[in-house]
Amino acid sequence: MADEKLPAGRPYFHPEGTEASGITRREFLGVAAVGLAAATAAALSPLRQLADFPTLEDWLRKHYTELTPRDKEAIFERIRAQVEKDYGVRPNLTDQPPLDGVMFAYALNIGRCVGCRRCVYACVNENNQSRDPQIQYIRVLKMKKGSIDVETAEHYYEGEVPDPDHYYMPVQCNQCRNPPCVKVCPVKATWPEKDGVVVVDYNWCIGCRYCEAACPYWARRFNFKKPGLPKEELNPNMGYLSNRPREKGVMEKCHFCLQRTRAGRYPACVEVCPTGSRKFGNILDPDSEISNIIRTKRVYVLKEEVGTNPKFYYYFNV
Amino acid sequence: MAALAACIAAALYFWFDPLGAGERTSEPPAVKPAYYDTTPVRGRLKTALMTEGTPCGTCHDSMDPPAVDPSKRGTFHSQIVLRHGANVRCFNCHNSGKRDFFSGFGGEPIPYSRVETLCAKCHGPHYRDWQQGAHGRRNGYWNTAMGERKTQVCIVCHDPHWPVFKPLRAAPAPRTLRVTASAEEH
Ligand code: HEC
Ligand code: HEC
Ligand code: HEC
Ligand code: HEC
Repeated sequence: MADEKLPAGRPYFHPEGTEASGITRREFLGVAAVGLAAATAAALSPLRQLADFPTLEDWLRKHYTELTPRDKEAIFERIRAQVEKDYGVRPNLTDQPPLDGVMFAYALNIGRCVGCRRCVYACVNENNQSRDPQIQYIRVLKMKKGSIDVETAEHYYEGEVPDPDHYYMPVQCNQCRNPPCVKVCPVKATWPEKDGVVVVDYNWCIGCRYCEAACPYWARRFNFKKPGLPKEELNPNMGYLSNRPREKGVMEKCHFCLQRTRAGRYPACVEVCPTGSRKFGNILDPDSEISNIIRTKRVYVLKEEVGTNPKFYYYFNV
Repeated sequence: MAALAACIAAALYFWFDPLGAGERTSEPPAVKPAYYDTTPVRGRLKTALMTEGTPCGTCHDSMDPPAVDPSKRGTFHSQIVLRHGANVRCFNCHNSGKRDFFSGFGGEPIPYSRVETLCAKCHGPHYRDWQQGAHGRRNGYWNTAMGERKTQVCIVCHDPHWPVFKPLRAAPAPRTLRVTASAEEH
């Protein structure tokens, strides 16, 4: 945002070229005060666009972890009403708790992935991301075989895939056991749940973007604008900590499709992958595919040296 | 004076919103359903082994199996192109006597519904990985106590006659801010 420029406003009520002349200090301060008030009012003008100013209850509510079931229900009801107003459908907003004895983990076979990006769009479609400006949780990196330099990877390839001497590495939130994004959050708007998924409370987030800077995987996305999501494409099955519509000014990221996975289903990206490269499951269950892969395959994690200890593994065919 | 000018400039800036941070004017673009279609690349599995809707036995039950060289395939099924490495014989897979079935190691019939055991004859490690969930694809519920899990069989991804996984067309590249070191945005 370095090229952001303020429009050059020339105070047109000044006598030409006589900036300091003929104006008393008192008059100046008076005008300046009015000017400042106008600027403040205008700076707050995005609030003009808020259909509903947050209610007093929203301002005074407690942190998610301190809410009673009744508090939650009241908050959810307000969100339902807001979504219905904005999108014309009554959403099925839930807040499923973590399942007992479940720790989610993910594995991705980079020997199989062909880079077709179906996962990217399945995710966008499931999780109500903004279509414009575009927000996507998954980024597929195309790299030369034999290299593993994510800095020089190609993000914008098109056409037929796979390209013979390349391989593809999708990157998304690594759901770290030691998440730097959580540590830097000044207001505790993001935290790891019992099933290992790092979530964001979009009502609590103040949009400071520290977490985005702290994440070594470039997994967090910021809503610079009001998310643009066509009404017909809203997924009405939504979770409070996952895919409910976001507002301008908050962070979001992959949450392993909590609204699906806590109901026992696979995440949308696993469900769609045509090559079967994406694997998901309960790492505490020794018979799950994820436990099998970790036991029998060569797995690695991205940027192991930064000590984040991810639950997102990459593996090879052998 | 400078302060005043700055205030007014800021007021104008925030009010007219030159960078367009405020409300949008047009409907945001839709995501094409083809980009998140979950159908496997070869479509859904058929219900039985057949060609153009006719079960194999309809013709073959009343035909004698070829008494001569089994590598000869005749011309009737010329649409079948076999590019399966060194696996060049129809009867490595198909059952010569019971044409609606595949053929096990000892020639025993394998029904269409167990086609993965046919592939297992020659692809043991892949079959093992597939059983454990490391190869192939699972859909539905990861938690089988909460719903049904569907394990996709080999032939919804691999054409048995020409099994190499065919190229796909990539869904569109992102239009988001570029993150490479060379990019000027961001
Ligand atoms: C419409 C009748 C018809 C159907 C249905 C049919 N076939 Fe055939 N098939 C033939 C004829 C006729 C030949 C002999 C071709 C020749 O000699 O040119 C043949 C030949 C073959 C051969 C070559 C070896 C041989 O037996 O001569 C194989 C293998 C074979 N068929 C497999 C199948 C399988 C598998 C199916 C089911 C998916 C099937 N066929 C369905 C008519 C049929
Ligand atoms: C690798 C094992 C294998 C070999 C070798 C093989 N087939 Fe098949 N064939 C299959 C399987 C599996 C199917 C079922 C495909 C399906 O339903 O999608 C099939 C289906 C067919 C069909 C019906 C499908 C269609 O497209 O009409 C015909 C006909 C057929 N085979 C003929 C042949 C002939 C002729 C040969 C020898 C040239 C041969 N097959 C070699 C495994 C094999
Ligand atoms: C009779 C043994 C046999 C059977 C049965 C068999 N295959 Fe194969 N398959 C082979 C051989 C041989 C190769 C070639 C290996 C090579 O070239 O390195 C091969 C190669 C492949 C490849 C790699 C193709 C490539 O070009 O990279 C795939 C995928 C495959 N088989 C899938 C299957 C599937 C799916 C089935 C079951 C429908 C099956 N095979 C059944 C023997 C078999
Ligand atoms: C979800 C789709 C899918 C299913 C189901 C599937 N495979 Fe594959 N298979 C792939 C992909 C993708 C590749 C990699 C192909 C490539 O790299 O060109 C592959 C590769 C292979 C190869 C080639 C060797 C290798 O490792 O690259 C063999 C052999 C094979 N599969 C056998 C099987 C068998 C046997 C089954 C069933 C038990 C099966 N596959 C089920 C998608 C699938």
